[in-house]
Amino acid sequence: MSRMTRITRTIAASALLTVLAGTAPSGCDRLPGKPPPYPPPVVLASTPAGFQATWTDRCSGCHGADGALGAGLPMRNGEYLRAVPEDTMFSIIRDGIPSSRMPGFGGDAIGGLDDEVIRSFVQGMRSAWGDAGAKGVSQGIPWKVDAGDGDPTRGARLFAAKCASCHPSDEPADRAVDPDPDPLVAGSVTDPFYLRLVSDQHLHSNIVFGRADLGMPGATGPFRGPDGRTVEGTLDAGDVADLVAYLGAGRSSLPSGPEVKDGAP
Amino acid sequence: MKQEGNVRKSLDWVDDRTGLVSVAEHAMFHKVPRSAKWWYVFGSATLMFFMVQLVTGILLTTIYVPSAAEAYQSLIYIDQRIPMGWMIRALHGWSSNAMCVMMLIHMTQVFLHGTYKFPRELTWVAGVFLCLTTLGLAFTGQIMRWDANAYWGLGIGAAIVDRVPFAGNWLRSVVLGGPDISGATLSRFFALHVFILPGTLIGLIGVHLILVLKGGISEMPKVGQPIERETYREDYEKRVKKTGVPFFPDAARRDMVFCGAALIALIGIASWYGPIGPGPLPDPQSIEVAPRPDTLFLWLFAVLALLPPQTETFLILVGPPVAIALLAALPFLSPTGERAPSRRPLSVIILCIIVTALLVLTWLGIGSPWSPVMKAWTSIPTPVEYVRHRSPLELQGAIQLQYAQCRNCHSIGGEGGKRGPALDDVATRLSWDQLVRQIQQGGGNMPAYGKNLSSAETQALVAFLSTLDGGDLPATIPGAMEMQPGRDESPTVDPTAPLDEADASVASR
Repeated sequence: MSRMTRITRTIAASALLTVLAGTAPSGCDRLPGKPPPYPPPVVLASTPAGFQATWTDRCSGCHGADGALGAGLPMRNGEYLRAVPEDTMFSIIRDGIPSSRMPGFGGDAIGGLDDEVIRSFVQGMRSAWGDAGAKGVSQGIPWKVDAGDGDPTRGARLFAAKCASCHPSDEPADRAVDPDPDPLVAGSVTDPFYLRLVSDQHLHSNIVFGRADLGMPGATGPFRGPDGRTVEGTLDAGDVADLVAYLGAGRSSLPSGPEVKDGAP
Repeated sequence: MKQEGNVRKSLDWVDDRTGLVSVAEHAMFHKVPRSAKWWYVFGSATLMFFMVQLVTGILLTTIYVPSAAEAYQSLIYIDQRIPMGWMIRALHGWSSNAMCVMMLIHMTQVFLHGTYKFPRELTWVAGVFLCLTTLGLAFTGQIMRWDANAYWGLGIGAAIVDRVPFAGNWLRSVVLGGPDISGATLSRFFALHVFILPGTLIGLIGVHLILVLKGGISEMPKVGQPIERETYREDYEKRVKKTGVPFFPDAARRDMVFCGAALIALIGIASWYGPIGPGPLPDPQSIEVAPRPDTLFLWLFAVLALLPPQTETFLILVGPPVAIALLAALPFLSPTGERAPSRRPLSVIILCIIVTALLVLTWLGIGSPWSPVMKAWTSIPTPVEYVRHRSPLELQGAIQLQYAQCRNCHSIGGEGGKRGPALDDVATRLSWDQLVRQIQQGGGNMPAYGKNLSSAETQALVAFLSTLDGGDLPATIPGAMEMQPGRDESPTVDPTAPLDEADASVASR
């Protein structure tokens, strides 16, 4: 091998190495192991990603993974979200609802969120689900319950006419025994244990806004009558107040379990 | 030719003054048995990973700040601001794991092949100390991250030391540099990790290698070729002289190929998974932490978590010294005899038990089913199929299950804590009354909730739980799955009764 060839080769190899060494870091910057930026960029809870993360972390346990089909009231309900004022929603989330099972997520709570975060979370929830669900379900009835001006007797008749078919007071047929249970029968809402656990506001919200995710209509209906046929007509604010008054009165009724019949407390 | 002559002359000059060249030449070209093949590469790979540790570790010490206030930030600085700094941390962290794994494989091979027997007893003993030093480096290394895991890991370590009779308190302040975890703690662990332990390790590696050269590389064990003190040395030397090959390049070639492959794998893992930690900062006020050690110590974590409380102090303080003493005494307990694994069934069984136990404990440590999932109650929804077709009372029970944080310890739908039993089929196992009793009075490991739940809350909870029949599984005990009969008989208005005049329009509205 001539001297010139050797020198040429050495130069070529050095150039190649230099190019590789120079480009390697830029390639390495895209390696999957590179740590994410720290501190992590602030994702506002008003953005879809930020809202979803906070929702999953703090709300999904009771209100459902996607804002519906959870055990608690669904928030994927545009009508409800538009009806509840932003400030009220903010204070419910920050301080919770006293003597209910809605805890506060801000203020003095352990790991509580800052007020700013909660405010942007409320905005995020509105922009995510503000248009979800059917419109006009609530018949324009205010979201907040009016305490103590309903007529329980009239409420009882309304209940019998429009609600009892799906909410009979006795136990629904045992699913294991009845292979084809009535899918609309959702169980008792006159159970005093149930009524003691929920506030008038809960009853009001459920009647007015329904639970579309579980097949329960809002104030617009349609309802099912005692004969199993559809009952035409909607509920107005007075009807809802009467229903709430009727149901609320059931809280003080004694549970009628076997132990009560036996005379035990 | 002339050049080679010059090199030789220079080497001879150095050798004449130091004697080092002939030592190196002996090490390189000494004869090793022909049968020493791929089984023999793990020790070299361990050494290679240690070299990586040394190089990356020295680079890291140039930037890392061993002060309680700045350690964490300096790691972030290395990760974020130093070009490829994260890669150095990744290589350091992963090669630490790799070094420990290789070392354990190497020890397993030595144990399985009975290599620790006469005349290589002290090589094994040096190896046991190497093993302890390496594990010490791995443990002190994770303290350097000064994150929540480091903090709580130290807390556990201090609690263990504290249990030593009489001297416990004093020992704890020696370990922590004071009564509490503080800046002094980090300083002394830094000294251990960067000076004392690596220095010890280098010394021990030297001793280990000298002993390997002195005793010679062992042959693959052969059935019917037991070790006898009187004849082994002579026979071994005769065989190696007759059939052996020089270490370099014949045997070293395999070492180099294996080490090269291991190094490439290390770089691959480091670039794929990135640096290990640092985790979140320690926050003594936060209860939502699940501190856990690095993978290597997960088995120990599991042991500590699962020991019955009465035996804890005794086993923690007596167990490790006894285990280490037994390990070091191994060559003196069984110095001669057969080396082939097929003739040493007891050793093979012991090895299998140890490996299985470590793997199972590590697996348990990964899952750590003894730790509640602190955020389950707000972040894991009730499975949709448990929400559909449930009565309003049962739905309130589902809310109660979340609100009372039952799911932090109990899973449903496969999600939630693993401390208590999964509740998906609880209705087939417990009757209504048993559910009420269990919730109110607790039992097993479960606290009593009787004082925390109203009767309505208990009722709702039990109503919901009694719907969880594991997807129509049959009852496993008499009385399970029977709803409480006639619970709700509150009076309702006869729906067929006519409405009074004033409300005549209600039904049709």
